[in-house]
Amino acid sequence: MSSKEDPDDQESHALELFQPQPGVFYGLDETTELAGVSRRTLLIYCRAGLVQPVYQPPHGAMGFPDEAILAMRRLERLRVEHGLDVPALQLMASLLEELEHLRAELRFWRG
Amino acid sequence: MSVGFKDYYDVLGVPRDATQADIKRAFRTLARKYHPDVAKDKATAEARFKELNEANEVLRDPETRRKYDALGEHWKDQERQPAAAQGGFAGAADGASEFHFDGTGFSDFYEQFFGSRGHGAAGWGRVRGGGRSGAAFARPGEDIEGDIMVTLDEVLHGSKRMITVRRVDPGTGQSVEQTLRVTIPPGVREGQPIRLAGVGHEGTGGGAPGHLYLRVRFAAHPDFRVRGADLYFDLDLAPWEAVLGTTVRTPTLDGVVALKVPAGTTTGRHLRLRGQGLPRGDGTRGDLYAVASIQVPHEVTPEQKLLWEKLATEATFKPRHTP
Repeated sequence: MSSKEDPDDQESHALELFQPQPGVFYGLDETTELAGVSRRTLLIYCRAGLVQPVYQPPHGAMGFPDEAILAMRRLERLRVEHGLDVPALQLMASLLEELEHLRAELRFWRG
Repeated sequence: MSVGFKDYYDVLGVPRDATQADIKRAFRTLARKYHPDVAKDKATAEARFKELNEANEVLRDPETRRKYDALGEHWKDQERQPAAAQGGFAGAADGASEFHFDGTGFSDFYEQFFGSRGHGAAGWGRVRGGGRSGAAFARPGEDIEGDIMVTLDEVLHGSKRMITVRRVDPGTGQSVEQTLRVTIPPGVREGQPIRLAGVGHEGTGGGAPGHLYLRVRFAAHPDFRVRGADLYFDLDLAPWEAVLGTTVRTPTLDGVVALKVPAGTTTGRHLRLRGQGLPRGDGTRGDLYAVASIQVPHEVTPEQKLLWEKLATEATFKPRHTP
Protein backbone atom coordinates (compact mmCIF):
# COMPACT_ATOMS: atom_id res chain seq x y z
CA MET A 1 0.00 0.00 0.00
CA SER A 2 2.64 2.48 -0.96
CA SER A 3 1.10 5.76 -1.86
CA LYS A 4 3.07 8.92 -2.17
CA GLU A 5 6.42 7.76 -0.87
CA ASP A 6 9.16 8.99 -3.17
CA PRO A 7 7.09 9.29 -6.30
CA ASP A 8 10.08 10.77 -8.07
CA ASP A 9 12.26 7.70 -7.52
CA GLN A 10 9.72 5.55 -9.26
CA GLU A 11 9.01 7.97 -12.03
CA SER A 12 11.09 6.05 -14.54
CA HIS A 13 8.78 3.04 -14.10
CA ALA A 14 5.66 5.07 -14.51
CA LEU A 15 4.20 4.46 -17.90
CA GLU A 16 1.85 7.37 -18.03
CA LEU A 17 1.39 10.56 -16.15
CA PHE A 18 -1.98 11.97 -15.37
CA GLN A 19 -2.45 15.58 -14.49
CA PRO A 20 -6.13 16.21 -13.98
CA GLN A 21 -6.76 19.89 -13.61
CA PRO A 22 -9.29 21.19 -11.16
CA GLY A 23 -12.24 22.96 -12.67
CA VAL A 24 -11.37 22.12 -16.27
CA PHE A 25 -14.20 22.18 -18.80
CA TYR A 26 -14.21 20.43 -22.13
CA GLY A 27 -15.63 21.99 -25.26
CA LEU A 28 -18.31 20.38 -27.39
CA ASP A 29 -16.02 18.36 -29.65
CA GLU A 30 -13.82 17.15 -26.84
CA THR A 31 -16.87 16.21 -24.81
CA THR A 32 -18.50 14.13 -27.52
CA GLU A 33 -15.21 12.34 -28.11
CA LEU A 34 -14.43 11.69 -24.44
CA ALA A 35 -17.98 10.67 -23.58
CA GLY A 36 -18.38 8.58 -26.71
CA VAL A 37 -21.70 10.17 -27.66
CA SER A 38 -22.90 11.92 -30.78
CA ARG A 39 -23.75 15.61 -30.76
CA ARG A 40 -27.38 14.72 -31.13
CA THR A 41 -27.32 12.45 -28.09
CA LEU A 42 -25.47 15.10 -26.13
CA LEU A 43 -28.25 17.54 -26.98
CA ILE A 44 -30.91 15.04 -25.90
CA TYR A 45 -29.14 14.45 -22.59
CA CYS A 46 -28.87 18.19 -22.02
CA ARG A 47 -32.53 18.82 -22.84
CA ALA A 48 -33.57 15.99 -20.54
CA GLY A 49 -31.54 17.62 -17.77
CA LEU A 50 -29.32 14.55 -17.45
CA VAL A 51 -26.20 16.66 -17.78
CA GLN A 52 -25.78 20.38 -17.32
CA PRO A 53 -23.40 22.33 -19.48
CA VAL A 54 -21.44 25.13 -17.90
CA TYR A 55 -21.43 28.35 -19.89
CA GLN A 56 -18.09 30.04 -19.65
CA PRO A 57 -18.15 33.79 -19.22
CA PRO A 58 -16.20 35.32 -22.14
CA HIS A 59 -18.27 34.05 -25.06
CA GLY A 60 -20.77 31.84 -23.30
CA ALA A 61 -19.28 28.70 -24.87
CA MET A 62 -20.65 25.37 -23.66
CA GLY A 63 -18.33 23.34 -21.46
CA PHE A 64 -18.59 20.09 -19.52
CA PRO A 65 -16.61 18.99 -16.46
CA ASP A 66 -15.19 15.49 -15.96
CA GLU A 67 -18.19 14.54 -13.80
CA ALA A 68 -20.49 15.15 -16.77
CA ILE A 69 -18.26 13.06 -19.02
CA LEU A 70 -18.43 10.14 -16.58
CA ALA A 71 -22.18 10.59 -16.19
CA MET A 72 -22.65 10.50 -19.96
CA ARG A 73 -20.51 7.41 -20.38
CA ARG A 74 -22.65 5.65 -17.79
CA LEU A 75 -25.90 6.86 -19.35
CA GLU A 76 -24.73 5.77 -22.77
CA ARG A 77 -23.97 2.27 -21.48
CA LEU A 78 -27.39 1.99 -19.88
CA ARG A 79 -29.10 3.24 -23.00
CA VAL A 80 -27.18 1.22 -25.56
CA GLU A 81 -26.46 -2.00 -23.66
CA HIS A 82 -29.46 -2.21 -21.37
CA GLY A 83 -32.05 -0.47 -23.49
CA LEU A 84 -33.13 2.20 -20.99
CA ASP A 85 -35.05 5.12 -22.44
CA VAL A 86 -34.72 8.76 -21.44
CA PRO A 87 -37.43 8.77 -18.71
CA ALA A 88 -35.81 5.70 -17.14
CA LEU A 89 -32.41 7.39 -17.29
CA GLN A 90 -33.88 10.51 -15.69
CA LEU A 91 -35.37 8.47 -12.88
CA MET A 92 -32.13 6.59 -12.32
CA ALA A 93 -30.02 9.75 -12.40
CA SER A 94 -32.24 11.58 -9.93
CA LEU A 95 -32.29 8.61 -7.56
CA LEU A 96 -28.53 8.24 -7.69
CA GLU A 97 -28.03 11.94 -7.12
CA GLU A 98 -30.29 11.86 -4.10
CA LEU A 99 -28.59 8.73 -2.80
CA GLU A 100 -25.18 10.33 -3.11
CA HIS A 101 -26.43 13.45 -1.34
CA LEU A 102 -28.04 11.50 1.51
CA ARG A 103 -24.96 9.37 1.88
CA ALA A 104 -22.85 12.51 2.25
CA GLU A 105 -25.26 13.94 4.84
CA LEU A 106 -25.23 10.70 6.78
CA ARG A 107 -21.45 10.64 6.77
CA PHE A 108 -21.39 14.21 8.02
CA TRP A 109 -23.81 13.65 10.88
CA ARG A 110 -22.27 10.37 11.95
CA GLY A 111 -18.99 12.22 12.24
CA MET B 1 -7.45 -13.76 -8.39
CA SER B 2 -8.77 -14.03 -4.89
CA VAL B 3 -8.47 -11.41 -2.21
CA GLY B 4 -7.63 -11.91 1.44
CA PHE B 5 -10.15 -11.24 4.16
CA LYS B 6 -9.47 -8.11 6.19
CA ASP B 7 -10.16 -8.16 9.91
CA TYR B 8 -11.34 -4.60 10.43
CA TYR B 9 -12.15 -5.16 14.10
CA ASP B 10 -8.57 -6.21 14.63
CA VAL B 11 -7.32 -3.12 12.78
CA LEU B 12 -9.26 -0.84 15.12
CA GLY B 13 -8.52 -3.02 18.15
CA VAL B 14 -12.16 -3.40 19.15
CA PRO B 15 -14.19 -6.55 19.92
CA ARG B 16 -16.79 -7.77 17.42
CA ASP B 17 -19.63 -6.65 19.66
CA ALA B 18 -18.25 -3.12 20.09
CA THR B 19 -20.85 -0.35 20.00
CA GLN B 20 -20.79 2.29 17.26
CA ALA B 21 -19.53 4.75 19.87
CA ASP B 22 -16.64 2.41 20.76
CA ILE B 23 -15.69 2.16 17.10
CA LYS B 24 -15.76 5.93 16.68
CA ARG B 25 -13.65 6.43 19.78
CA ALA B 26 -11.12 3.77 18.76
CA PHE B 27 -10.79 5.27 15.31
CA ARG B 28 -10.29 8.80 16.61
CA THR B 29 -7.67 7.74 19.13
CA LEU B 30 -5.68 5.68 16.64
CA ALA B 31 -6.14 8.12 13.76
CA ARG B 32 -4.76 10.91 15.89
CA LYS B 33 -1.76 8.74 16.74
CA TYR B 34 -1.03 7.68 13.16
CA HIS B 35 -2.08 10.81 11.34
CA PRO B 36 0.65 11.39 8.72
CA ASP B 37 0.89 15.05 9.74
CA VAL B 38 1.87 14.27 13.31
CA ALA B 39 3.60 10.89 13.24
CA LYS B 40 7.40 10.70 13.15
CA ASP B 41 7.73 7.72 10.82
CA LYS B 42 5.65 9.20 8.04
CA ALA B 43 5.59 6.29 5.58
CA THR B 44 4.59 3.61 8.10
CA ALA B 45 2.12 5.93 9.77
CA GLU B 46 0.46 6.77 6.50
CA ALA B 47 -0.07 3.12 5.58
CA ARG B 48 -1.51 2.50 9.03
CA PHE B 49 -3.68 5.63 8.85
CA LYS B 50 -5.17 4.51 5.56
CA GLU B 51 -5.79 1.04 6.93
CA LEU B 52 -7.58 2.58 9.93
CA ASN B 53 -9.65 4.73 7.63
CA GLU B 54 -10.68 1.78 5.51
CA ALA B 55 -11.75 -0.16 8.60
CA ASN B 56 -13.63 2.86 9.92
CA GLU B 57 -15.30 3.43 6.58
CA VAL B 58 -16.83 -0.04 6.75
CA LEU B 59 -17.55 -0.35 10.45
CA ARG B 60 -18.88 3.12 11.24
CA ASP B 61 -21.99 2.56 9.14
CA PRO B 62 -24.22 -0.08 10.78
CA GLU B 63 -25.40 -1.19 7.35
CA THR B 64 -22.01 -1.82 5.81
CA ARG B 65 -20.93 -3.28 9.14
CA ARG B 66 -23.74 -5.85 8.93
CA LYS B 67 -22.73 -6.68 5.40
CA TYR B 68 -19.13 -7.09 6.53
CA ASP B 69 -20.13 -9.34 9.45
CA ALA B 70 -22.15 -11.54 7.13
CA LEU B 71 -19.26 -11.65 4.72
CA GLY B 72 -16.94 -12.79 7.51
CA GLU B 73 -19.21 -15.63 8.48
CA HIS B 74 -19.41 -16.89 4.94
CA TRP B 75 -15.82 -16.26 4.02
CA LYS B 76 -14.68 -19.85 4.60
CA ASP B 77 -17.53 -21.29 2.54
CA GLN B 78 -16.91 -18.76 -0.12
CA GLU B 79 -13.33 -19.79 -0.56
CA ARG B 80 -14.55 -23.31 -1.17
CA GLN B 81 -17.19 -22.40 -3.70
CA PRO B 82 -16.62 -18.80 -4.69
CA ALA B 83 -19.16 -18.52 -7.48
CA ALA B 84 -22.13 -19.62 -5.41
CA ALA B 85 -21.31 -17.64 -2.33
CA GLN B 86 -20.47 -14.43 -4.10
CA GLY B 87 -23.90 -14.23 -5.62
CA GLY B 88 -25.19 -12.72 -2.41
CA PHE B 89 -22.82 -9.81 -2.57
CA ALA B 90 -23.39 -7.23 -5.18
CA GLY B 91 -19.83 -6.03 -4.90
CA ALA B 92 -18.20 -9.21 -6.02
CA ALA B 93 -18.75 -8.50 -9.67
CA ASP B 94 -16.72 -10.94 -11.70
CA GLY B 95 -15.50 -8.48 -14.29
CA ALA B 96 -14.23 -6.07 -11.70
CA SER B 97 -12.06 -8.62 -9.94
CA GLU B 98 -9.83 -8.83 -12.98
CA PHE B 99 -8.47 -5.46 -11.96
CA HIS B 100 -6.37 -4.78 -8.89
CA PHE B 101 -5.07 -1.47 -7.72
CA ASP B 102 -2.21 -0.56 -5.45
CA GLY B 103 -1.54 2.84 -4.02
CA THR B 104 -5.12 4.09 -3.91
CA GLY B 105 -5.20 3.67 -0.14
CA PHE B 106 -7.91 1.02 -0.35
CA SER B 107 -7.28 -2.72 -0.37
CA ASP B 108 -8.55 -5.10 -3.04
CA PHE B 109 -10.84 -6.51 -0.41
CA TYR B 110 -12.45 -3.12 0.17
CA GLU B 111 -12.69 -2.37 -3.52
CA GLN B 112 -14.46 -5.61 -4.25
CA PHE B 113 -17.06 -5.45 -1.52
CA PHE B 114 -17.40 -1.87 -0.31
CA GLY B 115 -15.88 0.50 -2.86
CA SER B 116 -17.39 2.27 -5.85
CA ARG B 117 -17.71 -1.11 -7.50
CA GLY B 118 -19.22 -2.55 -4.35
CA HIS B 119 -21.91 0.10 -4.35
CA GLY B 120 -23.40 -1.49 -7.40
CA ALA B 121 -21.50 0.67 -9.83
CA ALA B 122 -20.18 -2.55 -11.33
CA GLY B 123 -23.49 -2.82 -13.09
CA TRP B 124 -22.83 0.40 -14.96
CA GLY B 125 -20.42 -0.84 -17.47
CA ARG B 126 -21.19 -4.53 -17.52
CA VAL B 127 -22.02 -6.02 -20.82
CA ARG B 128 -24.67 -8.63 -20.37
CA GLY B 129 -23.57 -12.12 -21.35
CA GLY B 130 -20.15 -10.94 -22.40
CA GLY B 131 -21.48 -8.62 -25.07
CA ARG B 132 -23.62 -9.15 -28.09
CA SER B 133 -22.24 -11.85 -30.28
CA GLY B 134 -20.62 -11.22 -33.61
CA ALA B 135 -19.41 -7.76 -32.76
CA ALA B 136 -18.87 -6.63 -36.31
CA PHE B 137 -18.83 -3.00 -35.28
CA ALA B 138 -16.29 -1.29 -33.08
CA ARG B 139 -17.32 -0.96 -29.49
CA PRO B 140 -15.42 1.02 -26.87
CA GLY B 141 -14.15 -0.84 -23.83
CA GLU B 142 -15.88 -0.62 -20.48
CA ASP B 143 -14.80 1.89 -17.88
CA ILE B 144 -13.40 0.71 -14.59
CA GLU B 145 -14.22 2.56 -11.40
CA GLY B 146 -12.26 2.56 -8.21
CA ASP B 147 -11.77 4.71 -5.15
CA ILE B 148 -8.76 6.73 -4.13
CA MET B 149 -8.31 7.77 -0.52
CA VAL B 150 -7.20 11.35 -0.17
CA THR B 151 -6.27 12.95 3.14
CA LEU B 152 -7.40 16.50 3.92
CA ASP B 153 -3.78 17.54 3.85
CA GLU B 154 -3.56 16.32 0.26
CA VAL B 155 -6.73 18.27 -0.56
CA LEU B 156 -5.07 21.37 0.83
CA HIS B 157 -1.67 21.00 -0.81
CA GLY B 158 -2.26 18.54 -3.62
CA SER B 159 -0.05 15.48 -4.02
CA LYS B 160 1.43 13.00 -6.42
CA ARG B 161 0.49 9.37 -6.11
CA MET B 162 1.78 6.22 -7.73
CA ILE B 163 -1.03 3.88 -8.67
CA THR B 164 -0.32 0.36 -9.86
CA VAL B 165 -2.98 -1.36 -11.91
CA ARG B 166 -2.67 -5.11 -12.31
CA ARG B 167 -4.91 -6.92 -14.71
CA VAL B 168 -5.17 -10.11 -16.67
CA ASP B 169 -4.66 -9.64 -20.37
CA PRO B 170 -7.69 -11.36 -21.93
CA GLY B 171 -5.63 -12.35 -24.97
CA THR B 172 -2.67 -14.02 -23.31
CA GLY B 173 -4.08 -14.70 -19.83
CA GLN B 174 -0.96 -13.07 -18.43
CA SER B 175 -0.94 -10.61 -15.59
CA VAL B 176 -0.01 -7.14 -16.76
CA GLU B 177 1.15 -4.40 -14.43
CA GLN B 178 0.94 -0.74 -15.22
CA THR B 179 2.25 2.01 -12.99
CA LEU B 180 0.61 5.38 -13.24
CA ARG B 181 1.57 8.62 -11.69
CA VAL B 182 -1.49 10.57 -10.72
CA THR B 183 -1.48 14.17 -9.64
CA ILE B 184 -4.09 15.01 -7.05
CA PRO B 185 -4.79 18.69 -7.58
CA PRO B 186 -5.30 20.93 -4.55
CA GLY B 187 -8.98 21.62 -3.98
CA VAL B 188 -10.09 18.22 -5.25
CA ARG B 189 -13.67 17.46 -4.18
CA GLU B 190 -15.18 14.44 -2.47
CA GLY B 191 -16.61 12.16 -5.14
CA GLN B 192 -14.74 13.88 -7.95
CA PRO B 193 -13.72 11.40 -10.62
CA ILE B 194 -10.11 11.40 -11.73
CA ARG B 195 -9.99 10.06 -15.24
CA LEU B 196 -7.09 7.88 -16.29
CA ALA B 197 -7.63 7.69 -20.03
CA GLY B 198 -7.34 4.35 -21.76
CA VAL B 199 -6.69 2.27 -18.64
CA GLY B 200 -10.10 0.51 -18.68
CA HIS B 201 -11.14 -2.63 -20.52
CA GLU B 202 -9.98 -3.16 -24.07
CA GLY B 203 -12.45 -2.23 -26.77
CA THR B 204 -13.68 -4.75 -29.31
CA GLY B 205 -13.56 -4.53 -33.07
CA GLY B 206 -11.02 -1.74 -32.91
CA GLY B 207 -12.99 0.29 -30.37
CA ALA B 208 -11.11 2.58 -28.02
CA PRO B 209 -10.24 1.23 -24.55
CA GLY B 210 -12.33 2.43 -21.62
CA HIS B 211 -11.12 4.77 -18.94
CA LEU B 212 -10.26 4.14 -15.32
CA TYR B 213 -12.14 6.49 -13.04
CA LEU B 214 -10.79 6.90 -9.55
CA ARG B 215 -13.36 8.46 -7.29
CA VAL B 216 -11.93 10.74 -4.63
CA ARG B 217 -12.85 9.61 -1.13
CA PHE B 218 -11.72 11.84 1.71
CA ALA B 219 -10.02 10.04 4.54
CA ALA B 220 -11.86 10.67 7.80
CA HIS B 221 -9.96 13.17 9.91
CA PRO B 222 -9.85 12.66 13.68
CA ASP B 223 -10.80 16.29 14.29
CA PHE B 224 -12.73 17.59 11.31
CA ARG B 225 -15.89 16.74 9.45
CA VAL B 226 -16.29 17.97 5.90
CA ARG B 227 -19.23 19.56 4.14
CA GLY B 228 -18.41 21.02 0.77
CA ALA B 229 -15.32 23.16 1.29
CA ASP B 230 -16.17 23.84 4.93
CA LEU B 231 -14.73 22.00 7.90
CA TYR B 232 -16.52 21.40 11.18
CA PHE B 233 -14.82 20.85 14.48
CA ASP B 234 -16.64 19.80 17.63
CA LEU B 235 -15.54 22.21 20.31
CA ASP B 236 -16.16 20.75 23.74
CA LEU B 237 -16.62 23.39 26.45
CA ALA B 238 -17.03 23.28 30.21
CA PRO B 239 -20.27 24.96 31.41
CA TRP B 240 -18.35 27.84 33.01
CA GLU B 241 -16.30 28.38 29.83
CA ALA B 242 -19.53 28.64 27.85
CA VAL B 243 -21.05 31.09 30.31
CA LEU B 244 -18.02 33.25 30.98
CA GLY B 245 -16.30 33.03 27.62
CA THR B 246 -12.72 31.92 27.09
CA THR B 247 -9.95 31.56 24.56
CA VAL B 248 -9.17 28.01 23.42
CA ARG B 249 -6.46 26.54 21.27
CA THR B 250 -8.17 25.04 18.22
CA PRO B 251 -6.61 22.80 15.57
CA THR B 252 -6.80 23.86 11.93
CA LEU B 253 -5.26 22.22 8.88
CA ASP B 254 -2.50 24.83 9.01
CA GLY B 255 -1.73 24.55 12.70
CA VAL B 256 -3.18 25.53 16.03
CA VAL B 257 -4.90 28.90 16.40
CA ALA B 258 -6.36 30.73 19.39
CA LEU B 259 -10.13 30.93 19.15
CA LYS B 260 -12.10 33.39 21.24
CA VAL B 261 -15.26 31.88 22.64
CA PRO B 262 -17.67 34.69 23.53
CA ALA B 263 -19.48 34.71 26.88
CA GLY B 264 -22.89 33.06 26.73
CA THR B 265 -22.05 30.49 24.04
CA THR B 266 -24.67 27.76 23.83
CA THR B 267 -24.38 24.25 22.46
CA GLY B 268 -24.59 24.23 18.69
CA ARG B 269 -23.25 27.76 18.22
CA HIS B 270 -20.99 27.96 15.18
CA LEU B 271 -17.82 29.95 15.63
CA ARG B 272 -16.35 30.71 12.25
CA LEU B 273 -12.70 30.77 11.35
CA ARG B 274 -12.86 32.37 7.94
CA GLY B 275 -10.73 30.87 5.18
CA GLN B 276 -9.52 27.93 7.28
CA GLY B 277 -11.48 25.33 5.32
CA LEU B 278 -10.56 23.41 2.19
CA PRO B 279 -9.54 25.06 -1.06
CA ARG B 280 -12.34 25.49 -3.57
CA GLY B 281 -10.26 25.29 -6.71
CA ASP B 282 -10.89 28.91 -7.61
CA GLY B 283 -8.23 30.20 -5.26
CA THR B 284 -10.55 30.77 -2.31
CA ARG B 285 -10.96 28.56 0.72
CA GLY B 286 -13.96 27.45 2.71
CA ASP B 287 -14.38 28.19 6.40
CA LEU B 288 -13.73 26.22 9.54
CA TYR B 289 -16.59 26.13 12.01
CA ALA B 290 -16.01 25.27 15.64
CA VAL B 291 -19.35 23.94 16.86
CA ALA B 292 -19.77 24.48 20.58
CA SER B 293 -20.78 21.46 22.61
CA ILE B 294 -21.17 21.91 26.36
CA GLN B 295 -19.89 18.97 28.38
CA VAL B 296 -20.61 18.35 32.05
CA PRO B 297 -18.27 16.75 34.55
CA HIS B 298 -19.02 13.09 35.27
CA GLU B 299 -18.03 13.36 38.89
CA VAL B 300 -18.19 16.21 41.35
CA THR B 301 -16.58 16.42 44.77
CA PRO B 302 -18.79 17.33 47.74
CA GLU B 303 -17.29 20.85 47.75
CA GLN B 304 -18.04 21.33 44.05
CA LYS B 305 -21.54 20.02 44.59
CA LEU B 306 -22.12 22.73 47.16
CA LEU B 307 -21.00 25.36 44.65
CA TRP B 308 -23.37 24.03 41.98
CA GLU B 309 -26.19 24.00 44.54
CA LYS B 310 -25.43 27.59 45.45
CA LEU B 311 -25.53 28.49 41.77
CA ALA B 312 -28.82 26.62 41.33
CA THR B 313 -30.53 28.59 44.11
CA GLU B 314 -29.15 31.96 43.01
CA ALA B 315 -29.61 31.60 39.26
CA THR B 316 -32.70 33.11 37.64
CA PHE B 317 -32.10 31.39 34.33
CA LYS B 318 -34.97 29.23 33.06
CA PRO B 319 -33.93 26.96 30.18
CA ARG B 320 -37.51 25.83 29.31
CA HIS B 321 -41.16 26.73 29.63
CA THR B 322 -42.79 24.81 32.41
CA PRO B 323 -46.45 24.08 31.74
